[in-house]
Amino acid sequence: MNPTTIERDQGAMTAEAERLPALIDCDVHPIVADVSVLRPNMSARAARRAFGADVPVYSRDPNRIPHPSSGLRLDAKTPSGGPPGSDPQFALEQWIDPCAIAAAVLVPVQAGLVIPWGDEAAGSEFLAAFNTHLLEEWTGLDSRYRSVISISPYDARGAVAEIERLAGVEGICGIFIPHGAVALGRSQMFPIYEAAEHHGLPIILHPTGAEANFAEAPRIAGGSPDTYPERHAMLAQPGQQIFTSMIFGGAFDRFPGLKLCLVEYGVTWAAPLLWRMDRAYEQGDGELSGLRRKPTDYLADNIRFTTQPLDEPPEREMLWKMLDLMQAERTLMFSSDYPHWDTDDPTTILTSRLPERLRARVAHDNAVECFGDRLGL
Amino acid sequence: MSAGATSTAARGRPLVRHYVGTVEEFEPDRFRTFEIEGRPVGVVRTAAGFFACRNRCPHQGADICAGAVSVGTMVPSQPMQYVYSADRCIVACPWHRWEFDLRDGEGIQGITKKRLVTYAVEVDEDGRVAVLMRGRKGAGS
Ligand code: FES
Repeated sequence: MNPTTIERDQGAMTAEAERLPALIDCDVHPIVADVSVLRPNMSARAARRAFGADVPVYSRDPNRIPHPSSGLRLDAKTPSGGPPGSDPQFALEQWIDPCAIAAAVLVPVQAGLVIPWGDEAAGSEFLAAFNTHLLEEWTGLDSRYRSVISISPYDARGAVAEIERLAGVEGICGIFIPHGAVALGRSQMFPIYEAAEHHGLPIILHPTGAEANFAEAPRIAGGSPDTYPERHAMLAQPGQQIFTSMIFGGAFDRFPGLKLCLVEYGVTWAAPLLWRMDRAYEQGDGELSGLRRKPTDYLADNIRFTTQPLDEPPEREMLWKMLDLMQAERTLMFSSDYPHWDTDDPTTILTSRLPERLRARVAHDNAVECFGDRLGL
Repeated sequence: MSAGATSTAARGRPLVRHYVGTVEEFEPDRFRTFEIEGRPVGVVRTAAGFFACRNRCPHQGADICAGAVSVGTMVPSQPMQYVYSADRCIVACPWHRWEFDLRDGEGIQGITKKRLVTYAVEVDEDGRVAVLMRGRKGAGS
């Protein structure tokens, strides 16, 4: 008469996951449910910029393209009713423990709040308070959470100062740049890359939600999308721009130890784009003569991609071909995107979407090569 | 395991009734989840009646019963037109929001050929709610 009420039966998934090497999830999203908790760590001027001055503005719709349902998983609301990703303890219980994740790279897309701000110094100050908060609340709670240093793309001097402040702190594994209106291959970014290389901190890029929505955010070339599906399908485009700009801008020639992680921009476009770039390089009229290697040759040494959202072609062998062409055995790392609406389940991705030869590389090895000791394993 | 199970011979293995509660124990449009014969099962009361399904999304295995239940969904239309049909009773997965018809498990708008596993539900005159499942292979009845 009394069937057992269950919370979540993950037995089968966990058993599968246990047969894989220690899993590293390169995209877990923390959020600060109420950013005003950062106020005590900011100057009055920066706080005014960040939180407004209680002057209501009725005529601005902040979001060009609202999400059709929610950008977050419906089952990941926190026990206290907070938004998914706002409770690090609950995220351990719902995701990190059941999926046997050994290290999770925290990608705080909320840092993208500063993209449209006109006040660069306030942006840097806000991000410093934000970084400290996530380190304390998440990595401080559990060392499997690996924090990043979020920096402003508009304030290289402030960014370097923030990198120097936190690079030596246990639990830091990378540098997150919210993608704004600056092409990342520009030399104005080089002080940031110099510091990143010096400290062995990979540069992490991930769409922030500002793309095609806000002023100063990356646009979608050719005209703005009008609907969420259109925008979502085109999010590869900013990733391609970062990729092209950093290679042709010479970032990896200047800083050969620099690593770039392109998270959630898709992966299957990399090889065809490189074919075009290689040909452009070979046919170049001298503009690219400073590059020491052809674009493809930077891929395995300097660039990493993450799996989610992994394209779902009609036959998985089509995907496997594209993965081989992009040297996935060296360049691809697992990511779930927890707790966003399009979370990928690690067991499904690793065991039924990827060929066996790639599983251990994607689940573990490539991330260890990229982040090294900073994963705390 | 459910006590009070009643067998009905049908297509080989018998259908077994598993009682999961009374009508008033079910909040409208909120699944309750159970383990029945080792299977994760969700039962929901909607304006269109009771439904039961396996608590596993055919896509990536999410607990689909944590998703949103609605009578009706958007149907194909021209861009920027929104056409709603109240014809179907739907569960939308909490992850990628794939939608399935709770009556037959069919993926809405052909999003997948895989079906959500569904079970029949009976409510008796005393308001007791039962999920009907075929017994396990080889199990006596
Ligand atoms: S897991 Fe249910 S829609 Fe993807």
